[in-house]
Amino acid sequence: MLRAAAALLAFAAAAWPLPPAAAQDARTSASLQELVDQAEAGQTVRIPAGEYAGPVVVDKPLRLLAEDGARLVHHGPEPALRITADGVEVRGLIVEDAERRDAGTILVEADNVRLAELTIRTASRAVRMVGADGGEILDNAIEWAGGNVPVSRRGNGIDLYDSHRNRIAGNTVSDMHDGIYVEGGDGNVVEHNRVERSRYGIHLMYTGQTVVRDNSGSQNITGIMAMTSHGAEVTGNVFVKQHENVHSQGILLFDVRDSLFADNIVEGNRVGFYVEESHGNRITGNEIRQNYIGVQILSSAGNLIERNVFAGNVADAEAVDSAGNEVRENYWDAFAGLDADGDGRSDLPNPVNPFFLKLTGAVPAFQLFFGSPGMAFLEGLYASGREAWLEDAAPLMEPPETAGDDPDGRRPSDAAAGALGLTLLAAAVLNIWYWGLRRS
Amino acid sequence: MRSAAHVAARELRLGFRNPWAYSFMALFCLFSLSLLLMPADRLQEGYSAAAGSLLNLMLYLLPLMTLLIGSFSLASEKEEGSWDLLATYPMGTFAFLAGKMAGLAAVLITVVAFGFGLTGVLGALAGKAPDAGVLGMFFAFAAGLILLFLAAAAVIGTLAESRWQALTVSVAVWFFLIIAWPTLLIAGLGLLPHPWIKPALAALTAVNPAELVRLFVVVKLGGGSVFGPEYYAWMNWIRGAGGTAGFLAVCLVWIAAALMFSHVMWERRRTHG
Repeated sequence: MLRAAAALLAFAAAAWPLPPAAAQDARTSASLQELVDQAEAGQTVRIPAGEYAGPVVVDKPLRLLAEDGARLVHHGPEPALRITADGVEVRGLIVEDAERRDAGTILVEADNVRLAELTIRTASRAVRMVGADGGEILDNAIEWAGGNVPVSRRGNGIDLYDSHRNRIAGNTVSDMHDGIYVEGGDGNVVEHNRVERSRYGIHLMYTGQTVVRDNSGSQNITGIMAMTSHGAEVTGNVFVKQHENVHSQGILLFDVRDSLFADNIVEGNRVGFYVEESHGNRITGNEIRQNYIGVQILSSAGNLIERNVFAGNVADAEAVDSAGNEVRENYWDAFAGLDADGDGRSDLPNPVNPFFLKLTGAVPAFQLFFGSPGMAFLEGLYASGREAWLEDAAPLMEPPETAGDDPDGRRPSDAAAGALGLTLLAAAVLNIWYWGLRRS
Repeated sequence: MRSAAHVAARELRLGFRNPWAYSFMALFCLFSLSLLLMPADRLQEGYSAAAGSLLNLMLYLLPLMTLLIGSFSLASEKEEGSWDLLATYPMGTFAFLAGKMAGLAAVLITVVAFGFGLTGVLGALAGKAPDAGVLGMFFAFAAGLILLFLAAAAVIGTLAESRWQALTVSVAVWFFLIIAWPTLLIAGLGLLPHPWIKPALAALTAVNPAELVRLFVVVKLGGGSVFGPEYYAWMNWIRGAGGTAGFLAVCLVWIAAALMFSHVMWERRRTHG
């Protein structure tokens, strides 16, 4: 309905015969600010194609609808676009801003603001919301334009500070610091966004009741970083290939309480799930595949870890000081269970050996032994304090229904392997025949 | 050079007319095929569980087989007296040693080529093929492992007076380098002051061919980040072209040092009888 009305308005605006001289005027004077100043509160302002100079301040409720090719190109110490009035909508504008500053490229300091279908190329933060509630940040494309600096020194894509009940949906963010950073707000919804090659995909800090749903990302340092937050609902997200950095993980929880992490897929990460000092969370139905380490749990208790799938991880789990969790009915493909009563659950528990994590916690250099056959031997010898280990009391014998295909979808080529195999085999057989079987 | 080629050819003929090469081949095929048949454990691109298990299989099996076969081959020359005969011919000791090692290397590499080849072909037929790049890399590293441990076997075979001694020492060396290695290092290095641990560990890793090859494979598969922030700079270096060159250089030094030591010992034996 809203969309239809918007389209109708845009059509009406486009159909309105604007005097050519005036249109020309808007372009050459290149002042978007004038267009804004001339408009009445509540009006819809059409921004014709062309290049406009910033900065622009919108201090009354307006709908700014940019035509294709309308670009705001900004240099200077102020934000390119600053919104100080409630109920402003900006749609379709291309914003280019190659200057570094704290305030960001678009600064929103008002409630119920909608930013939609923008393309933002920034050398600082793309969208910064400070004390802005009830807004919608929809379907924007955000890219880094600040040159080749490390991601740790770039700006955030969408940055919420002390802002509540906003909806961040359908955005794509690439090559930024944090794709979506939420600090200190309640009830924000972050869904269907995609973040690539940034530091953290989605970063929650001091938040409450945040919903993080159906987002995806790859090749970030960390996919979802949830810190000092409570009541979050993190579901249906897919984060793959966070493995390049030595601190990489798919989903990290630090000091997270009473939150739900369900039905996420973490694949091909250095660590799938990293959980530290987090309590009272439910971690269920996640697929944790092909990571170097499936899950690492440190100093956490009171969490429910249930019906997750651990498949193809080099090491499924490492846990230390985390005995007080309820862990059951997960599927571990590397665990050989025994189901005597046929209820689908193993009668033998799957204990998680804390030795390696303890060892490398004390001397990080020994991390070099990860995956060494001798390390497996040593871990097998180590059984002290068994009662304080984290263990799955009743692991599943078969993966639960949820296990689908891998989201990456790439299969090794049968033909290539066949050809290589055939070559090796033929060479070997020829060699054996020549030296071994032939009568010389 | 010609005599080295003769010795190598003799070794190849002996190798492929003896049952041990085929029993080793059967064992190796059995293991790599059973890994292939593991459910959901397709050998994909990158460092994965399947890659990890195959790597461990190689580390258990290849060094032991190589040490036994290599050291037996040298020790039996002494035990059976064929060296005493050969020593009367105008043939250099180095040609003899290099020829034997080259021949054995060819036999062992043929065995793993057969195993990996069979895995690739059967995998492709069953629609569960491993990633060709990873398969090729594993073959290359199996070959590297064989060459490095043959060098170690040359030293063992040189020092051992009999096959029985060679067997005992080979198993001890294998257990030390593959199984007990982390245990001994963690216990031993724990006594050092903290800042010394990392450099000492690095130096010792370069001395253990199994660890060297394992780390190199994991890094080349893209899994270097799993070793943590301590090794950040190294992993980047190893992953690049310089890393390959450095790895090859360390391998060459290893093999050259082992052959040179063996040569000196055999020469002393030849001249001092």
